[in-house]
Amino acid sequence: MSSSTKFLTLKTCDDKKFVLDEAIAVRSQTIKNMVEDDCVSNVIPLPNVNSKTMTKVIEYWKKHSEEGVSKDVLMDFDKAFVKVHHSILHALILAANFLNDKEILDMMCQEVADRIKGKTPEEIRKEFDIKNDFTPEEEEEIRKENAWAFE
Amino acid sequence: MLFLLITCFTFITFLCKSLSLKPLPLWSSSEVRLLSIWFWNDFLILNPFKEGFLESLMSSNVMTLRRKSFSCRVENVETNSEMSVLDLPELVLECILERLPPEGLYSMASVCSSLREKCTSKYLWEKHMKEKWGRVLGPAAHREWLWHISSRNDSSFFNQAKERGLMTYLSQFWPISLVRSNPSTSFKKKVPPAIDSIMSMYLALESGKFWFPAQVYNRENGHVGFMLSCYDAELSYSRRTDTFQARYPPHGRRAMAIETGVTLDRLRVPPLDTSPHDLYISDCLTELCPGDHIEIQWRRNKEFPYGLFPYKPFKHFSIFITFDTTVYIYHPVEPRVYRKQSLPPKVEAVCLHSILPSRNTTYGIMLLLYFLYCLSSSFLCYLVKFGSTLKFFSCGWCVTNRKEDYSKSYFQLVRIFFVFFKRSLLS
Repeated sequence: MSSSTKFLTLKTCDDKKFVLDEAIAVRSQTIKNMVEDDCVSNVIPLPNVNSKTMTKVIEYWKKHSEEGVSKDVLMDFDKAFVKVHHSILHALILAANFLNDKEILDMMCQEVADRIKGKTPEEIRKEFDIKNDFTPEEEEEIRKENAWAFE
Repeated sequence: MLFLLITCFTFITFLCKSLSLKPLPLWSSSEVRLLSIWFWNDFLILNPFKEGFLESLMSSNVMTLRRKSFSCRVENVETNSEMSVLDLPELVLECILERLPPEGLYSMASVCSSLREKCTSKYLWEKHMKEKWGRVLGPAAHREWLWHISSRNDSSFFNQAKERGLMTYLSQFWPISLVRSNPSTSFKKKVPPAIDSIMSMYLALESGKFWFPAQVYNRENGHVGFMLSCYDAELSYSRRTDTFQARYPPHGRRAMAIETGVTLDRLRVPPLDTSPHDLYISDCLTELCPGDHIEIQWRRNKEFPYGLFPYKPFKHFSIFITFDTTVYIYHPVEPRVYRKQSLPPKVEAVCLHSILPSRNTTYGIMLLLYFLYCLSSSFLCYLVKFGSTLKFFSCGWCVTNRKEDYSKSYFQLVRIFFVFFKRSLLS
């Protein structure tokens, strides 16, 4: 890789283009592999990521690549970064998974886990919009188990 | 042809005979141990990790089956446009579930059927189990759990266990694909009760409903002579106080004792996988060296269960093992302990384990010399018949941890020997 700044163009699924410093873009293992394998022409297509999500990801990458940023500032940034609506969180997880950025993925997974913690099954269903598909017998079985465990 | 017929015939008769020999043993208490050893052995062939034996025995088949049903259920759980955690990639979802504490994981298991499959998995609960209970659960506790679930009133687990008994057994030996090729035939239930999972064991422990066997240090609460001795007990956890309740088996005429407020650091896995009423015969007594970690099994009399007396913490103790395999303990630093009792605590047998390699030549020679001295003096004692007290002090084998201890106890012993010698002469 050359020492001078090289730029990559990332194209999201909604045809938006992002021009990004290669040194920042290679935070994504997927992009890094593509660059290393020399299969990058001009534009890197990202068919699984939309522009809204990509903007967020790039925002994170840029902040974490900045020099001279204190740990506290980064921590505050991360805290604010994960406080988003479910749909965005979900899209970010999928994007991080596709881009293979372990740092963002871990952070997002932790956020989802934190949102689950301390909630009853009913609250979890509501929060994540999950349908209760247990049959009455199964429900009874679970209730019995619950009573047995926590009575 | 004739030869073939003969061999066939003999084989069939042999088969018939061997099959009609004896039916499987019933689940009576005496046979259980034997049976579990067989299961144990079977298991060890494939899996070197002792802890996993119960879990893999029970859940290996269930898990694959559950997984199969899982894939087809995911799609119809969430059909609306709103995105949900359920349509996250498998690995990502796993990553989230891994980060949940046990309570969160349990709540997730009650959300919907596909999450139930995921959240009751052995893989996720094993970590929590090891973290919280790994230190105090031994093979005996796992055996007890098997009994516990099989004896529960709603024996849904038991019925299932019967159904899949053969499958489980075969899966230990046969290529997995062969055994699991047609799973739908033996499992019709959509959501099998999680009673056989690690999750249910975890919940049972946490709720205090499952009394598990373990050993408790220092029941006498501060009595110096017995500090750090270990007793077998059944324990139940109380989440409210984060302590345990210990149920000791009857000691002699004393009824079953219950102690509350036992902290986690006072518990340990029993080092021997035997009943507290059984004597453990050690086969490494002759290799005993100074500095070795030894534990002494002892009891007051036959009505009492054996307690264990770990030697390591007692750096200043000397232990005398006489030739009739009786062990006496003498405390050279705090003679008060000794004087308090009319006789030093009599111990019926010795158990030794985890021999540490701390062999030292000078030490060895000293030990040899001392042993020779003991041998000669004991011979003299037997000849002169000085009585049991003298016998105890003279014939023995001293094992101590440090050099100073060794010489100290040695001189102490010589001194005591002379005192007794003088006394017996006077009388």
